[in-house]
Amino acid sequence: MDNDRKLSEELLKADGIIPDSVTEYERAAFRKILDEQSKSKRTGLGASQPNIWRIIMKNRISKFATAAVVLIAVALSIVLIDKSITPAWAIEQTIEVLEGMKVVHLAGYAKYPDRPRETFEIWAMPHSMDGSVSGNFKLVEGDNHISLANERENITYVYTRHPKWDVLYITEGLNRGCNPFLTGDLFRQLKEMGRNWKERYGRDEETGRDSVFVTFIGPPVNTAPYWKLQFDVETKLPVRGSVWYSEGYEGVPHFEYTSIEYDREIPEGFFDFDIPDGTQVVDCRMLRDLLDRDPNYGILVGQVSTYDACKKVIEKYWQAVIDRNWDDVKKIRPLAAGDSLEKLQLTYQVHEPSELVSIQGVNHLDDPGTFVEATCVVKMKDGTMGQSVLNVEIRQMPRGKVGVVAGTIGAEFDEIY
Amino acid sequence: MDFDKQVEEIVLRSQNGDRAAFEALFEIYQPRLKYYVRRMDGRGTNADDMLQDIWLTVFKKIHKLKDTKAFAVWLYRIARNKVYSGFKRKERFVSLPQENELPVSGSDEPVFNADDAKKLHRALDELKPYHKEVLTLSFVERMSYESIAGVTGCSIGTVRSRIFYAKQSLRKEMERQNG
Repeated sequence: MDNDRKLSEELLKADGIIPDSVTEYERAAFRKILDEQSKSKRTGLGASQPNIWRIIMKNRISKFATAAVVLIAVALSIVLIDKSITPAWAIEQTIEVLEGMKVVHLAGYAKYPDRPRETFEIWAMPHSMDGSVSGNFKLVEGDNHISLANERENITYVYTRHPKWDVLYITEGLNRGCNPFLTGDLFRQLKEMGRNWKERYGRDEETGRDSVFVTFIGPPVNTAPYWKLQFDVETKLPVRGSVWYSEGYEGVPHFEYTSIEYDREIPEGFFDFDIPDGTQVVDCRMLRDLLDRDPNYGILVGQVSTYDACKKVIEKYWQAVIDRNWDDVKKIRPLAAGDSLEKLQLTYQVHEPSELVSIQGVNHLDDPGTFVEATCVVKMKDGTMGQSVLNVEIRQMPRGKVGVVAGTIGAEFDEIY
Repeated sequence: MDFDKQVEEIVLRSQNGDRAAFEALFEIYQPRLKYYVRRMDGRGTNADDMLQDIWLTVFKKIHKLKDTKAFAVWLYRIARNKVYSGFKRKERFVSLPQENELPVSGSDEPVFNADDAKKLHRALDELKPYHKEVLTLSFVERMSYESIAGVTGCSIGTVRSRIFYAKQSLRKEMERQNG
């Protein structure tokens, strides 16, 4: 037996593992998995498992959807504090009911002017230390986006499936949420908001339950300020809602909540994130830790907007690349060091940039859950054009506002034409 | 037929829904996969659940594996993603290679043999996660640098230098344990 193989076997033995053998327990557990999977395939039950990762996503509505959750709460408060409706709507009762809730689940549709209508679902739990904000939070949009904040890990995951690549941002802290959470305090604080509200009693078209239908002008979700909400008279809970661009409630609502449920059972591990295969993981904490350790990285951008700061960083970066000033490249792009810098230099040798032509599509500005994504169009010396999606980070540091390039999404040049 | 060919044939049969073939894959890879998962999941308490989860994913997705020769790399990538997903402590995510990952000659690279196994096993757990990972894949799975690069998503050069520095760290740790 060769030494490498013997070493491998001895290591396994040192860990109590018998080489080339599995225990009966493991074998039985594995066969059970096979049996269950075969059974679910036959019965079709497998497809009904909570494979929520595949349900949704194509846009960046996370913040807006979250805002919409808040606004439902806002609108709810307005209705409930109007004592003219009925004594059953006493705010204290509603506050009591909602403060006992540990989970809220919302499902519905989002429609943006330039995109098809998409589904979304939100699950949120109040923070264990501060019930006025959410802790665990999950948003699934369409079939290409998941935002997940895990209170135990104090980590936020933002996953987006693009046509060319899948990207997962990992950041420290709870950077997605349903804030403020649906508490009584929220209603007290927001009772003054909203105007021109009208209530109409009727029955739910599906369940036939007594309901009150409310319309009012409230805080806008994006630019959609016209709200419709439906409350169950008996439970006092909101059951449906929508927000519209049009005062006449014409066309398709911007957001439509077709289901609002409380205290829905959450399976164990529901707020853990399972990284899909082939995903590009952008662990923002690595760069942020690096900047904390060595504040000399990056360039000072001055007190300008995040967009202008990004523009400045991107222009400086490409100028350094064009000038082959690798010291500046490393300063602006701190994670490009050692082996990765050599790889970068090789890429820029094969595709030699001569001019930054334009910056297109700057996304995730001021989003603590991701880096900025900026699509750069670069002209090469041979006349071809390249497209590169740079990740940019702008941070306020003791020496001022600093900008760095974190890396690229996809290849350095995801398209050459 | 050599081992790689055998595995490739078993993978193909598994892709066609052959249950016995799938069980054979489990028998071949489970022991070493378990060692890898235990090393990477430092607490070890989740290892069994994680292993089941890994095999469940393999079962569900094996039909999507295009390069049947690359089964081991694919398997360990699934395992790596599961382990990283399951990490509860932030330092496991933020651990950055501290060494300058330049190509190394390998001329003064420490060598380990089977007699070192027990000490080596203890010392492995004291290494940084990214060092522990490449050495585990190298020692236990006996993967090539290219395959390790495939699992970890690093370049071959990075893998080479990482293994070089990892072996140096390992030797130091073993010497420290020996007093």
